[in-house]
Amino acid sequence: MSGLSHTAAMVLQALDSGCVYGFSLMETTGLPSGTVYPALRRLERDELIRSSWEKQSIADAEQRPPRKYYKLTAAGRIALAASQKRYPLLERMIPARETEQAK
Amino acid sequence: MTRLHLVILRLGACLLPENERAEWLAEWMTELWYAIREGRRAGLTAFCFGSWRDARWKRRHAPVARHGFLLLNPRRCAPEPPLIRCAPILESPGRCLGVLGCLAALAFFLSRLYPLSPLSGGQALLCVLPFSVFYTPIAALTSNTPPGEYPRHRNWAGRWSFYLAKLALLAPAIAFGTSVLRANALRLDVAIVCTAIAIRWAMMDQRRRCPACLRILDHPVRMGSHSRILLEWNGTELLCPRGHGVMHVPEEPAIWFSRQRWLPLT
Repeated sequence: MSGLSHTAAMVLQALDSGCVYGFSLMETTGLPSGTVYPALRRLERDELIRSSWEKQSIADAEQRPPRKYYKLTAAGRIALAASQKRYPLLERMIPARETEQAK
Repeated sequence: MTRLHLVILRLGACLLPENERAEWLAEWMTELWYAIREGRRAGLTAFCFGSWRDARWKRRHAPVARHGFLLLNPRRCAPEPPLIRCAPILESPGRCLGVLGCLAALAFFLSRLYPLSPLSGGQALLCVLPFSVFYTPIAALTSNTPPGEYPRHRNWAGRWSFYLAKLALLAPAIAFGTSVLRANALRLDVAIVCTAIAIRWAMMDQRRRCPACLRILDHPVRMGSHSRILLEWNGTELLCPRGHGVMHVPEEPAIWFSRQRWLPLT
């Protein structure tokens, strides 16, 4: 999986850094929505990430709509490690696990 | 969330296969809601316009073929021609003939109620029939979906009867239905154009039906893997809802596989 594009690698890195929603991924990577969301679909199709909807009960309790969040899979972590070797600046651009909003 | 943003997102949703539309729209609307709540009002329109690219990507990679009416699953993609959209009503051959029969009866009663044209329905029918005989082979030759390969013993009499019954019901529906037009010349022109459309529709409808039970084929699956395709997917497989067989439809016609092929499973 070392053949990931730089955009896909950035999205994976941002996911690893704790951004789990589409909009936060956009803000972290600086990429437009028209790039981030198709990249997410592609990564999900290749089983590098997994998406799931937040439980309705949790969202209802906080009076907000449930959100779809994305997680790295095991294959995604391997792909990310390969991408970090290929794009050494990736980790400096988006440092891994810098935020606490991952969960 | 302004009306403009909602309109942009809803328009984007129209690009998607119908079964994916609700979830896709929910995700984008939720993200927009959070963006507004967090006070990021600048660039929201550009954010919403980005959804179109996402929708286009999803549509392109949906397991539905893109070319030809035959391959379009009427319940999955938009926009579609109105005749294809109403296909679920026409799914079974009985219901299809019933709907066409009702259409013909309605046209007949309309022609009786509003006899505006001096040309009677019977006379119009006499003009439409020779044209349909003349046009049918042309439509067959110029159709973008060539006739398929079916095993000869497979219900050929039933298939032809169904096809002729459809034409027999469509012809009076057109001949009597155009009686609402006052000018004779215009009426004949409209009738001939409608006949041409009806013949093409009847052919395309025939080619997306199971040859055994004459129901509309469903569950389209695009064949091929990403690493082994050069320009396009190899083809699409459609299943008979009753399990009579599989229709293989080539995406790009090749020498070895140029026409749709029926594989009976029973």
